Amino acid sequence: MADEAVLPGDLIEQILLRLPPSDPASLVCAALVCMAWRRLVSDAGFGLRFREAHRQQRAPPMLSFLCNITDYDVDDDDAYFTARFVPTSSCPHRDRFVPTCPLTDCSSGSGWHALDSRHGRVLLHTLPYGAMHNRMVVWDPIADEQVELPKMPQDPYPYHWGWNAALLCATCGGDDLGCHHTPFIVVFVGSMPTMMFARVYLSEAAAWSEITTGWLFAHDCLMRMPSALAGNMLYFQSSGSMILKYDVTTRKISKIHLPDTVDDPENVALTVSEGGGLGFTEAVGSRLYLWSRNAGPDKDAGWTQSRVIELDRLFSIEALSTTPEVLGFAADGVGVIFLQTNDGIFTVDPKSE
Amino acid sequence: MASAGSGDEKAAAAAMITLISSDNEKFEVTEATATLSQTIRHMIEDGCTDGGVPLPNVTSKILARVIEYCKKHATAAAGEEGSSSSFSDAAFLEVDRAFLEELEEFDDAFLEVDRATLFDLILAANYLDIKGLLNLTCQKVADSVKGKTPEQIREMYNIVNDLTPEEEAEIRRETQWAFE
Repeated sequence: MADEAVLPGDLIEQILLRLPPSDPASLVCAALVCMAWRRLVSDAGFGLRFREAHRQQRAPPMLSFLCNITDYDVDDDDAYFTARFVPTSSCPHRDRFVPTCPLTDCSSGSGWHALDSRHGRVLLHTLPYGAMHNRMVVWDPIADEQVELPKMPQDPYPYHWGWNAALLCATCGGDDLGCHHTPFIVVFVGSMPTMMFARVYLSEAAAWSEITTGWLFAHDCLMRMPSALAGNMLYFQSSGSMILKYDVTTRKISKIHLPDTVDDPENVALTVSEGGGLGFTEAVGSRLYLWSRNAGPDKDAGWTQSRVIELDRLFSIEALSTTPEVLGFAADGVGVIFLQTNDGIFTVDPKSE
Repeated sequence: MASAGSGDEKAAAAAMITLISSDNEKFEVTEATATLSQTIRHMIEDGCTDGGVPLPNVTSKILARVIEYCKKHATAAAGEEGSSSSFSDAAFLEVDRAFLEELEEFDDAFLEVDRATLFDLILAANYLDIKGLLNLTCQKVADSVKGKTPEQIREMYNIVNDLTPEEEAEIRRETQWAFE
């Protein structure tokens, strides 16, 4: 072995840059091999070069997702809601990707429920739903940092008609995924039969804003489905055809509607195209319908059905014995739709053939 | 592979280049083959290839393998700088699918070498600046490291662990999620 070639550091780096981004643990293992490899991997520029090397290979990989599920405690009749981390990475050394998990340390005995996630940060809140006791945290799973939001000022309106909240980066345009430590915004929206209102939390100010209101007549309750961010507009789903639209810049509230043809508005997920256009996906039987919002003034702009995906080509007959439940859509460049079937949770990539 | 590329190859065949290995062995190759190496391409452009191109860093054993690779890939790369990269490449898409598959099979067989040869190929690909070959060989090593424990990697590549137990413990503590 004495005359064996020894690779210089820059060539070792060429090798390490080609480790799969879907398996971050392989970089950790490389760092543990020896001092030289450790130095290479922990070099400040390595992360940037690693991202650059894999930029051509489409979006960053999805390492895991959060799923709100219901557990039942045998000693207690109450349902126990909790957000679970579901890993999708291929690393053989582990079956989960969870730094110290804050999802179970809630003193109230109830779990945390994931509301929204953008750019590697997650917005969670505690149940029960009594909004006055609601606690919210913003969690960065990679850095394992969490910020608990201060209690909201008492609102003059009850949340009988539902509420939801969204998490945004305060500074980046939407495409930059390296913004973990930048300031963030949480937009809270609540609804009543004749009125919608919103309140904004700015991490830089560490305070909730005054409320902005919109007098909109709507029979539909807001649902706690992940919001969609298209351009500067946030969209929140309701149990009916109404979609609450919140302008992040002007803080104005308005509404749009799903097409009348949508049979079950609760089994719909809002989507955002690669170009930033709003859309939604609807499951009916063994078909997934994709729609996109037409350009034009809100009142008149309609929707166009852009694609139909035949799920029986992708899933087993057992999985499709009932209509799959549309759980949500992963934005941040991943662009897949989550479906709950009788055979488990699946992702469907609308961009694939 | 007597397809579209062979005409170009014939045209280039007029210009032959002599490559001289570190152990003084001479290899006659076409310019099309030789210019897959950016290093040699620049030498040709500068007109300093008369009397052969000495490659003091490459042995005849390794140079023969490198030339084998370049000959095979020269057709695919005709007229396209450094296009034999296996990172997605538009030039590749235009090439006949069957030829692409043949090329992949060739690459797979080409990489069936021992570790020392693989490292020598990486060094040669780097020195000669042959992007496709560098990518191919580095990816091969990366694939072999993927999913292995640090101990397995050290054993495979004969690397001495010079991390102190404290340093190792510190990394493991910081990245505990990777080992659960």
